[in-house]
Amino acid sequence: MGSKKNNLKNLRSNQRSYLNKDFDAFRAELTQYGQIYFKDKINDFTENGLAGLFIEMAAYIGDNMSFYLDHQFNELDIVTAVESSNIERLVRGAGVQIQGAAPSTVDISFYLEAPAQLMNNEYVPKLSSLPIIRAGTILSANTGVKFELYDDLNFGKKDSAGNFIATYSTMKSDGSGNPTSFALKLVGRCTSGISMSESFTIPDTFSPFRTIKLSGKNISEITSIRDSQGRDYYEVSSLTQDTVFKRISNTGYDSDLVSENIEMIPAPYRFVKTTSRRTGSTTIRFGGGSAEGTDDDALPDPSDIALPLYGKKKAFSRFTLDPNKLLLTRTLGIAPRNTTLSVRYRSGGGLSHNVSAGAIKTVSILKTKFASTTPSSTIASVRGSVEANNENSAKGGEAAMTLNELKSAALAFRNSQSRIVTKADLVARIYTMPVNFGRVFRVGVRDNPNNPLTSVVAIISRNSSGKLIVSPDSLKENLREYLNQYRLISDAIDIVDAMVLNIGITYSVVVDSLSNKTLTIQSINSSIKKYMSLDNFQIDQPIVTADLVNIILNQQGVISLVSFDVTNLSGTVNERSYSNESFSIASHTDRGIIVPPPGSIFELKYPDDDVNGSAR
Amino acid sequence: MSKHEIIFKSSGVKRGDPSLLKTVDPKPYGIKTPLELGTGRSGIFQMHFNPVEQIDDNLKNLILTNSGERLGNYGYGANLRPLLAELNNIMDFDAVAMESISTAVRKHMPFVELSTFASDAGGTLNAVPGPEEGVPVSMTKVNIVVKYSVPKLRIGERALSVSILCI
Repeated sequence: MGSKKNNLKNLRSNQRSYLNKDFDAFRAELTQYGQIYFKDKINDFTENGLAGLFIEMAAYIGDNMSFYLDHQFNELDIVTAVESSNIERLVRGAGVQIQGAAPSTVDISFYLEAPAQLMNNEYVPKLSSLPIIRAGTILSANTGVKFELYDDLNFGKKDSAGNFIATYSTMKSDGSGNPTSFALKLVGRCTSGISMSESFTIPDTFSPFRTIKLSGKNISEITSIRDSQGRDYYEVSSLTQDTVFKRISNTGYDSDLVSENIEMIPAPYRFVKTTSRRTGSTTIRFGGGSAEGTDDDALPDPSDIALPLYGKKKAFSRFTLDPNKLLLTRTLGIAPRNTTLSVRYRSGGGLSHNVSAGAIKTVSILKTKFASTTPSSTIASVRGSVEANNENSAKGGEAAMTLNELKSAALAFRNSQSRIVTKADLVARIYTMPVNFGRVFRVGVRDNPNNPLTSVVAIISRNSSGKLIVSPDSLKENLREYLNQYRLISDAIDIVDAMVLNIGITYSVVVDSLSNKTLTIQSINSSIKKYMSLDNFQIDQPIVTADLVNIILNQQGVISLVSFDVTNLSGTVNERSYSNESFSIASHTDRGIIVPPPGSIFELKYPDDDVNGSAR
Repeated sequence: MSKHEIIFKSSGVKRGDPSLLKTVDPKPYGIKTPLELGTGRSGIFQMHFNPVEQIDDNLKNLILTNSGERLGNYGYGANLRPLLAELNNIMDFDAVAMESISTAVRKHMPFVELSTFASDAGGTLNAVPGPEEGVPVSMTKVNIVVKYSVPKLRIGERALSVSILCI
């Protein structure tokens, strides 16, 4: 009871009161007013008299109005708002997109059996029998939840070295031990948001900001909207946004590392989507302009705002100008008219979609594409052999956010911004660039000593075997396009390659007589490899030699450290290829800390060979 | 002996001077219920010019008011209606009604001293008054007579009669 009272008290203390008047205060004030100004007309203002009754009625109305005034003010602030519709409005105003239940995603391994063929004295899967498993293939979990393949899986694709990207192993062999068929495996990302499509016939009447309501619930993504004239409509965060990023397949030499390029394109046909938290339904709102106008989504003629000078006036003083005038366009995108819109979207989600590992084994709808020359019997046998399995549990499925969660999200979102101001913003933007445009492994940001408005961003990537490599040019191009949208106009960002500094560690220890020297050295090497793992290193991060010495001395059986040395490895050493960057460890060591040159990162490239220890 | 000058203003006026005999109109105390259009000095509504009548009126309204009937003042009134609804079932109706009335009076009109209470439900509690009195058939009319005094205003014992209808 007491805690309930306290909760109520806390609740009240959190609420604002802009009048600070309640029924009693209103009644007392009205009574006083009556006694002062109407004393000659009436004397009895007590609650028992009729005058008291009228005063109480007026106080009651005042109390109600005061309550609603306070309520309205409270509803203006996301912290104190209680009505769900107002919270939704404030959350949207803060920039948070309200979504329904979120779908889960999972990497699913697809297996198939394909016939073998002999090529260059080597048995490999027969290329013409290898299909593309198409995006949209549906798989079912044992719980009934359906998953859909995001992107095409091309089993016949080879990397730049001519090797299949799919892993394969012999499945069947003939009598002489030669493979007759291979089992191939590719991993594809699947989602429990299932693709759906809907068509809307738009009449031949101009309706600015036309809205259409989708029938599906928990829509996580609008995949595409295309009208009957073949025009694509692009989703934007607000209708004032007139450009979007577009994915373009990368056909360059570095397509292995960067599958797609990013490009900015104008989006005159655009839309925003809003989801109702209450109903879970999604509404699409298009732009407000007519495509018939000639200057839709084009900048107005800048000379229209030039200051006219009439008569013989030869001079003019300073004048004020709204710079937004230059940016004004007539429309906020074009409203569709006299067409049919085909909307594709993903729908579905929830906590139950986080199915456990091994739960997805059934291929419900298999979409494949084979070469035109592939015999139908091969197609049938390959299709019949397709199997799937999820080695990890599905993740990301969430119920729709509650009102309190939305409030918290909005408060957190207030602090974020859609532009790069701080170093943290810059680093976050680089790391969050979609992975199709290339993946940056590490980012280091530092000031440019020659230009205070420029930041130098050093980036580095990893290859398929986890070694550091120079980031591909396509990735840098994509990064430039991507960051350009978020940087301040006066800021400049120099994207440079981080220097990779390969090192080797040599040490010698004395081991007590009870310990096995070989095992002790192996344990020390293992600990050093773990410490020097790339996961633990950032660009510009120094090596503290005391930590390495500590690792060695703390190993059980080690009595003393005789010698310890860190060396720089560059070029080719013992047929091992290292980075070409060389630097002097001694000149970069200060009080036991090896500080790398700006924009560089340490790497123990071949841990098994680069850590050498000896025991006495 | 010097002559003293006396100002005429200092001579005063006689007690019987007509200027001192001007009558002052009594000020109204409160609005009379039920509301009636005012006549004479009353203004829009008929007013009480006597505190005794005003207290009489207020006490009557207090007894006839039930909980929840006053906007913003939920607890105002003697709240007799629930009692009357259970008239047949309550053996000691008078005692309970007296308790309700005295509680309300102590809270809202503490200057009133109640002395006696009498109720009359038309002989039997189930008696049905005739339609000639404007009372719908199947309703019971209960007459209550309360005697009270107001010592602070030196008002001696007065009797207040109220009638309550119940189903």
